[in-house]
Amino acid sequence: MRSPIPMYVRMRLRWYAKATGDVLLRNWLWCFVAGTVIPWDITFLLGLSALLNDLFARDQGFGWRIVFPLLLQAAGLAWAGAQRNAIGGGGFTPYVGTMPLSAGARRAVNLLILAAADNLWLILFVLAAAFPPAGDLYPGAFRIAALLSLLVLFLSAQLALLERNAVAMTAALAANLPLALSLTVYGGPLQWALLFAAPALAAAGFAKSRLTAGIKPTKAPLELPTSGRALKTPIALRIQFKALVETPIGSVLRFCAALGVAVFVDFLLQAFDYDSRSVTTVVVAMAFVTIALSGFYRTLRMAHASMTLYSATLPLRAGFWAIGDTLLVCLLGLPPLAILLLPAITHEVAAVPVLTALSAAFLALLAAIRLPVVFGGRRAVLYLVLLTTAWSGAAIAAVAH
Amino acid sequence: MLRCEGLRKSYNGRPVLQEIGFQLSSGAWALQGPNGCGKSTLLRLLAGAEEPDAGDIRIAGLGMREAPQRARQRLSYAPDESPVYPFLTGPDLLDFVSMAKKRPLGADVVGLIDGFGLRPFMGVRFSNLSLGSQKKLLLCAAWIGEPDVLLLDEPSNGLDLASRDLLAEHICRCSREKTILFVSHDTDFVAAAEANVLAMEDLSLGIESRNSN
Repeated sequence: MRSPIPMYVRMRLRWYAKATGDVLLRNWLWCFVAGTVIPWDITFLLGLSALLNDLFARDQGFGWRIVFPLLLQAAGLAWAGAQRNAIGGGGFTPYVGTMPLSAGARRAVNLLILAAADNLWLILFVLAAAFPPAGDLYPGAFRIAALLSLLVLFLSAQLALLERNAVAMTAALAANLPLALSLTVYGGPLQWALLFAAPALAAAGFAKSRLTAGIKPTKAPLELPTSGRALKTPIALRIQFKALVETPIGSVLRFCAALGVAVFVDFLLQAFDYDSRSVTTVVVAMAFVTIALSGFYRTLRMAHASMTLYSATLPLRAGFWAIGDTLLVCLLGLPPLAILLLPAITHEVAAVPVLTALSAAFLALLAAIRLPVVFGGRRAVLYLVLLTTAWSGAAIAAVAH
Repeated sequence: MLRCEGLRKSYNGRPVLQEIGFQLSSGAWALQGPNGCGKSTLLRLLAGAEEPDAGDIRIAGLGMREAPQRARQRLSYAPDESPVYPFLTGPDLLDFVSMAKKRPLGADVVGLIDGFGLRPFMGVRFSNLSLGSQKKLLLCAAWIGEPDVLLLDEPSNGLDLASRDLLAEHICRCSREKTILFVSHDTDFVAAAEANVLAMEDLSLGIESRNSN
């Protein structure tokens, strides 16, 4: 009898490729666009992998050696969390959970798909192992083993997230302590013992847990009894917010990115001492905020797609969701706009009518980007960048006059 | 109340419906035919969920092409599956349909919610509801706004016996004033709803006035 595992792996990989095809294409388009600004080649990748070797830097203390792996795990969690459904195998996974496959076999398949999803991370780990930092503190074998431990902790945290396994997650996070200690205690068997204790502790987190239903393809049950307050929210807005909450990591990252750009530019304005460069900087920041928020259109569009058939039978006015989504994204653009405008107004980087016109143009741009994002198909990213670039140019020219 | 003429629909060049035409007045009508003959497709076209390749549909005298919003105001549709946001709860769905139809929940809808025993599940998101409960909510939503025409795709599927009887009785009572066209092979349900049986093959014979009386 042939083992069903290879077939299951093939099916899961096909699903992953299908579910993330558009995302991959979009990410590569972003890389292409970024490549026109940042000259990135193997040197760029080596630079990224050198960050991993920062864990072994001579001048780092115990604090950094524990914070660094945690930051790495956080990045890995965001990476895997954003594509949880694709990695998890979709609706087919619970069905497979009813079949007589051992928990170990299913976990191995999950790890394999996770490794495929983490391909870029794995390349960085391999490069970090192949190119040791100058003046390496540790023997080569120990550094390689430490990198492997780091990789195990990285994957363990991701797997725990995908399986919603709190015990395994706690163990994966706690395992950073023996790893950090092993890098602080120089030489001797204790160093090696602590190093092996880290992945062992992370693996132990999975030992007692049973993988019964596999990775959950959808969000956890959310029982929301309708309270008086919820009923007061207009239903269309309630649906839009619920759609955004369905992809919590992506939504939070997008909004935080927009706020982060605005806050960073505030610091830049301060560094520029609010001189003549400030208005141009604000314009460019608005373009970046727009790009950061553009993903909300895609999230909302995908949510509405599930109800298109039913909505078509209701007497909704034409463009009901198009208008509603545009208003919501403009609403979400107001906090970063306020962060950008407050210092600009306070320090009079431009006349108030100019800043008012700029704000209106920013909101118009936020509304306009719905077109490339929703109707741009596979070239959505390129159209979006072209539109925001053209807008930035026009806005800078207008402000200059 | 429900009239269509020359309806045609094909997918990827494969014709599913050809020259469908009929006219139905108030009453309960059970559409039957072999699997894959286009019953659900016909209901989707009549409900405006999909555009026909050709043909004309009129709901209470209003053309779906000429006055799409007003025509949809007068009809309701309950699909066989649940094409609803997975994160919606029951009240969300009912609020959404009420908002779209600009009509509050009527006493009959509240009565159906209670009759179906849906109260304990009103806080549960759609994706976590059983198929039967999803079906019941879509059926309750179909009665919002006092529509003249109701199009129900396999309405008794997944319902427990008590709910099925309640629905049949409700259809029977409402069919005195409304046109209720539903797809069903459940002969007991069709009989309980006192529905007239329409065979799919009869609908392609051209326009034919049909009355329940």
